[in-house]
Amino acid sequence: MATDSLRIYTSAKWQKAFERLNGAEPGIQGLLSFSEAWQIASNFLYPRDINDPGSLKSQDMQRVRAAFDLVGKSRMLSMLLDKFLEDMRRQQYLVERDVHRYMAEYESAGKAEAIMQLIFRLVAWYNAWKPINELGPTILSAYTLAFQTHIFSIFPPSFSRGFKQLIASTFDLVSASSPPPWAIPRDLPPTEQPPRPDYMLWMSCETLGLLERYESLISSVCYEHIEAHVHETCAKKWDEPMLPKLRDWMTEKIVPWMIMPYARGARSADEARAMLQGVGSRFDYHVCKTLCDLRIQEIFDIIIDYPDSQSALQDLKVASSRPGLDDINVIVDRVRRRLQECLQRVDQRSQLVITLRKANKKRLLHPGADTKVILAQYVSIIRCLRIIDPPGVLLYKVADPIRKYLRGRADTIRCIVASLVGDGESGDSLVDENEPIQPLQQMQADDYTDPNWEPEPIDAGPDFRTNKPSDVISTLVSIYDSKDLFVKELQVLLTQRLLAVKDGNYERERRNIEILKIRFGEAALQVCEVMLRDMTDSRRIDQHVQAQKPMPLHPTIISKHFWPPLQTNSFTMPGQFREIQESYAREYHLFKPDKKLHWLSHLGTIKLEIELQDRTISEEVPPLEASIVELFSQKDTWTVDQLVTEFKSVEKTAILKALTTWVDLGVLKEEESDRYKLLEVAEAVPSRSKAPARSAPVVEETTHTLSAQQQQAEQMKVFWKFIEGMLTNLGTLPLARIQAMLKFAPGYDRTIEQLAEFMEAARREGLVQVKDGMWKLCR
Amino acid sequence: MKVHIKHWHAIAQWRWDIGKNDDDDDGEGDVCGICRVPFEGCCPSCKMPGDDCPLIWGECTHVFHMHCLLQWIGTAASKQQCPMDRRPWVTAERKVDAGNPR
Amino acid sequence: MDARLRRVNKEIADCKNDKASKITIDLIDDNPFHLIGAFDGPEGTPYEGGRFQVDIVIPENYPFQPVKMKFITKVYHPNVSSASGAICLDILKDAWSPVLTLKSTLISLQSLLCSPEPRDPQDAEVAKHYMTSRSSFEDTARYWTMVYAGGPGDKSGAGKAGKSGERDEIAMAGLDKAHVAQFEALGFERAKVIDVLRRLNYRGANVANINDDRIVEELLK
Repeated sequence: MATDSLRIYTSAKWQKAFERLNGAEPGIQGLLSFSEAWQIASNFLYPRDINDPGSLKSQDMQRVRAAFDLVGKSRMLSMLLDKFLEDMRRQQYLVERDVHRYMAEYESAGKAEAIMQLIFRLVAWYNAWKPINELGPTILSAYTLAFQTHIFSIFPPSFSRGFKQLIASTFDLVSASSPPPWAIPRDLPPTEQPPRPDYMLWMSCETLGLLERYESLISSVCYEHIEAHVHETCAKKWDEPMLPKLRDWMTEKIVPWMIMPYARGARSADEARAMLQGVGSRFDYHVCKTLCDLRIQEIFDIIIDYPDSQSALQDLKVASSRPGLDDINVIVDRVRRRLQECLQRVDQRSQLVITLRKANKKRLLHPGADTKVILAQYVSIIRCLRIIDPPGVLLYKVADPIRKYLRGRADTIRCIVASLVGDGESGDSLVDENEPIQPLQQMQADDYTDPNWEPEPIDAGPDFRTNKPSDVISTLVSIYDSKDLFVKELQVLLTQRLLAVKDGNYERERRNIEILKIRFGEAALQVCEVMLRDMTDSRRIDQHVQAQKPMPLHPTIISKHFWPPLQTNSFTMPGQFREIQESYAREYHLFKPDKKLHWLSHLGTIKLEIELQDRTISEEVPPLEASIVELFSQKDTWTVDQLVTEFKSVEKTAILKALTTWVDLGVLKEEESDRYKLLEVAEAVPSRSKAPARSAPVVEETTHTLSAQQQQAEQMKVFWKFIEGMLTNLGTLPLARIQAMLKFAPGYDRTIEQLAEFMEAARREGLVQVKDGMWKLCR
Repeated sequence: MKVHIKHWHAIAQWRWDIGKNDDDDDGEGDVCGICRVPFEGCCPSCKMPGDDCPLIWGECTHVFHMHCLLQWIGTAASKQQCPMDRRPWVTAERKVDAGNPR
Repeated sequence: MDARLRRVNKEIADCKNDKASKITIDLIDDNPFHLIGAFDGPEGTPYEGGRFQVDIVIPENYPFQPVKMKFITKVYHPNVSSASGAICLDILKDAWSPVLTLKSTLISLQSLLCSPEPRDPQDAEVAKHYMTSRSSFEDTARYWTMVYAGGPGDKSGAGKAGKSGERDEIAMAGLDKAHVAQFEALGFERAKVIDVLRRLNYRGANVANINDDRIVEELLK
């Protein structure tokens, strides 16, 4: 039961409201006018169904405005708004229906067009329900907020996907000459030609508040577009710098596009520029980063293709220097890691197969790869990395595993040495003929894990210990820590070359020695001097002997101790060969009474002409082959055993090989097993294979010299005795002492690292033990 | 059948003719007693072997690098004696052996 | 390369390669011209079973100057100073020849141990001992070998004294225990008695040539 005060209060309120609505009108006239106005206003401000043509009634706008005025005067506008919003909620299903319809269309066909149509449709709803401007900005913004909130809540999850797709398609739209039909809203009144094809779309999105809501999505669309473009245009394209081109593309294509999403309201070009500043900078950053990442991914192949791929490195350098991108050290580290990834990957055997299948691809550290190829790649890497990383930190970190690997290969030194002397036959040399020839500089990379490391002296200049070899050769030689291995290998190589000279023309070798003298220093090459002098003397002596008594024999006479050890399986030559040898030796002794000759009969080559009954065969063969055919001129049938007896120190396999040569040439024939006969008359020869016979002279000689590395292994055995003696007498010694003392052993040329390896090997064999860096013999 | 030799490129080592038959010797060969370097090598003060660093024979039939022996004879302590047998050193007259070099 | 160094290196290497002779030459430190050689005491001599170390110095004009050698291991031998290890051997002086090598010289030293030359002694006292009583000399030499060169016998060097580290000084001096005791009994200190008796070569047949007064006279000095 209402109390009195309540009644009074309520009636007071009622009175106030009545007065408000009624105004100053007599009786309830005001009320009646108000309710009429309310009716008009609320009818007008109603979310109608735009599908229903009947819902749009033409109104007398003056009456409508008057009605709104009255409602406003009665201060009932907020109530009107509340009612309107309530009505909107109830009518929402209409919008929802459309949303579902269009989204279903999108989900089934997957085309962005559906989304665009949906947006236009939503704009149509929005416009239809929009309060007139006279009602003021407050109502308008309240309406907009409500409308947008409604539609956002209606959107299914697939909307974002579709929207993204739609935005992505606008890139193409921008440059279209005229908008495609689906880019124009169906029920929008035809206005003037839109300033650009995607104009309507953007404006519609703005209307619906989509641009703000999906801001990051729009940015990500642009990022992805940029990435796609970078990869499309720049991947594997290394013949020109791509970064400037990318920036041009940004200016021509992307910036204009950016105006709609980011600088719509700009009234002048300057204003637009200012508005685009922030986001433009972000996109430019993204271009650089994408390019950087791409190049780092490609770094391995870039290095292989160097110098054709120079521009790619340029890109990397410039792109990575953009402020905000990683510090150069981080970049360098990323490159290193990437390279190591690649290097590790290709070291696996399975990759070997895959790699072999890829056409024209050379890979590093490939067990089957030619050492020369690896060396060439190594040089390329060095050159490349110096561009990216001048101080050489990366160089050292990346190059070191390669160096270690190369050191483990048996023929590396030989390859390098062959390059040093410009091996013209085997394709491109590693040496640039135009580079000035300089003495080798000492490479010294600091090894901070070395317990004997000392800081550089106080007065050291800035270049002290800098890794700055100025040419390829130094780079290659620096694979090894000591020059001596090189000099030894050089000797071996020179030996092969010189001994192969038949016509007395060794000018090229002389020139090479001169070059190498500059690089390695004269003392190291003294032995080579003697070798060359032997060549000169041989020629002179031969001229003299030929003048006394012409002979087809032209020997190279060498000084035993100045040539590398040549394998010694000499044999006595038969028949006319021996006679000629003796004859020559006699003449030689007459010429040089205090000297005599010792023939290395198994070396050299002989040009023969074999006169048979019905044919003559000319061949150049090694001495063993020549000796064998000579024997057949004495007796036409020999067994293998007889031949083995004849040539006492020659292995059976060698004799068999020599016999095969003649069989292939159709001179001999194998009658029964191990029994050969001379073919005075030619018979059909089963598949002649010239190649093996021909290559015999050269190949044999190259295997005759023990490689430098083989010699080294022998030497270590001697050095071990020294070490044993030291440790016996002095008990325990640190490595440095052992090294210092070994320096005085004859021919000792190892580095302390090599000694460490050797000691470690000895330790594993149980010969020595080590404690706190002190070595001692095991009892 | 006849085998004609057109051109024979051979390799030979020169050795001093010190009267020893060392055709089968492929080792170091004899060394000079004074410098311990093989005769076919050169003495410590030379760079080139052979005619530039010849040998010297004594009448006692002992052989040395010429430079090595002369350096020894030049010292007072040597008393002009052969290092091998301490007999007074007399250089032998080397006859040109036109016969068999072997 | 330096002729001297080259030769020394070859000689060291040559020695290393010859395991049979048991003659060793090793570096002491970084200097290749200061070496340590060693050889076994020859069989059939009192030096048998010992290992003798020799200090080797290569002079500047080697091989035209003789190598300088002296014993590091103490040796009891007429031609070797018992105090300094200095050696009296002709090839180390005026009979040197450049064809001699470190190894051959060490072998010569080894031979010297077999055949002492007392008429050209390095250590007069030892020489006198040698000529006075060969057997006593050999006992002493043997004892010294055991004490200093790791020869066979009681390794502690105490001999009959029993305590480790304590040597039998009488045996070291090559004297008769009874003789020493005799003069000790007079109240003289053992060390002094040993010293005097040794100097006077109171051994073997020579004992008869020296009368007690003379000895006491020396002891009182």
